[in-house]
Amino acid sequence: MTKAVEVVDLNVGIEREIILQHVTFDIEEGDFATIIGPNGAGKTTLLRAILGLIPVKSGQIRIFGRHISGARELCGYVPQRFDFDRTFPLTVGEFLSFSLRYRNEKGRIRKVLEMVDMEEHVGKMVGALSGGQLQRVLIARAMINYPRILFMDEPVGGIDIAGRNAFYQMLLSMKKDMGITIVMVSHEVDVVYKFSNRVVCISRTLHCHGHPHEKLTPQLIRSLYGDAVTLFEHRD
Amino acid sequence: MQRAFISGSALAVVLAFLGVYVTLRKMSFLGDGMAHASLGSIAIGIALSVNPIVFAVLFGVFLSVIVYLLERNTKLSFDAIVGIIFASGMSIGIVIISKMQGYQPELVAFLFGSILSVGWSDMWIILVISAVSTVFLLLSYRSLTLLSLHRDMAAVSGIKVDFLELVFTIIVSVSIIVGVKLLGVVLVSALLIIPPSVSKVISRSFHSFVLRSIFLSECIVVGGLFISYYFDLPSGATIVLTGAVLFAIVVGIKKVFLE
Repeated sequence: MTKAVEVVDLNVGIEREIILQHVTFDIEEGDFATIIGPNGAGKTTLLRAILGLIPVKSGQIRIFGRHISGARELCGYVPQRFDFDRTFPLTVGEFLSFSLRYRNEKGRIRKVLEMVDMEEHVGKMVGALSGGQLQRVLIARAMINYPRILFMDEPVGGIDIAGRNAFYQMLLSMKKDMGITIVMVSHEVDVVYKFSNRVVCISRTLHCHGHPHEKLTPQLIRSLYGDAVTLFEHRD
Repeated sequence: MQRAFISGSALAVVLAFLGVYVTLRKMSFLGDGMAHASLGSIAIGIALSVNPIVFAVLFGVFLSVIVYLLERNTKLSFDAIVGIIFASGMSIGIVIISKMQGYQPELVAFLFGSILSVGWSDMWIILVISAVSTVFLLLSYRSLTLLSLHRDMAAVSGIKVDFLELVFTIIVSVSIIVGVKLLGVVLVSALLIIPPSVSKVISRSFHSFVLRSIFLSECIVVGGLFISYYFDLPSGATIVLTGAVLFAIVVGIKKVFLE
């Protein structure tokens, strides 16, 4: 199977500080991969390095066998924060249209909004959307050019529990319909168990990668988050 | 008067269009900073008897590159960098003025604007720069908007964010500098800010925001010119006051009647 993401001995630093050291893992096409780790572990740094948004000190990164500069058309991205003046006049439809690769594909705007159940809001101002609605629109924007891989950085911040479950179900449905690979940074270890088939555990360096049910042992969790953490298994 | 209307109308379009992005990117200080910084190069141009606007435009390009490089490669905030450039450029101008013999009417005209003394060469410089800037904005409209909303999203979309930001900074600086002849160092940045501010109050989409900014900017410049001509008032200040009054009327109507 094609490897969607290959990271080999990645080292990332900012000025003299080393953020990530000797990180090596891969993600297969079609995976729902989650990158977890404590605060300050370097999860967002890892995602930004993969996307070529920050320079790396050494190491190799490939997306579907290509360097990021040649793979951007394959990628969709939902950032951690979208700080935006909510009084700024901009409709949902306009926001999506600015990301369209080709202007004659305006029919896609409605299609991607339907994917995220936001088709009724195409004429609404982006500033008037709730947190959950904005996240859906950001996903729709990331999907507008039908990418092969979707990168998301903590996409459910600011969404309540019920909203989060609906959000992940929507992601799984999109993944099934479009065969997309998903790489998501998350704080929620329970999400990893419930929705992901691959986990990458980061805390300045790689602690594990593989199937969550195999890799996320109590010992691993404690090594990542410290001894104060306890793992409870839900009996469904 | 004819040259004044042509120059003013051309500049109104490009400054309003640029002002939309300057507002979105919170770069309003750049216009003010570049206008004030240009005083130094204008003074040098006058002292050397070369066209001060041409000299100021070239210097403005140089300063824009400096602002861009300092912002990308240092920990200084954008405002701090522009503030340093603003104060330094202005100070160069003041020092040169202090060494010039006698009263300098041309220099004073640049401080407060003298739209009615725009010559044919000035008009052509303004028209060319306005045209180039407008074409740039039309061609990069979508990329520039996405970049202004979120830099990383734009970069992942394949937009050359560094290049676009540099070109945008240069275009803003140069457009502001050619406007100095019309509205003056002190007031030119108002044309970057007032029309988009008025338009923002009454717009509910980005397209209408841009179109209304341009329309309002034209009304402000043309209206201000007529008023200044018939009442013999300083043209730059009259244009700006026309804009301020329009802003007050629009906000007042919206608050009192529509909310």
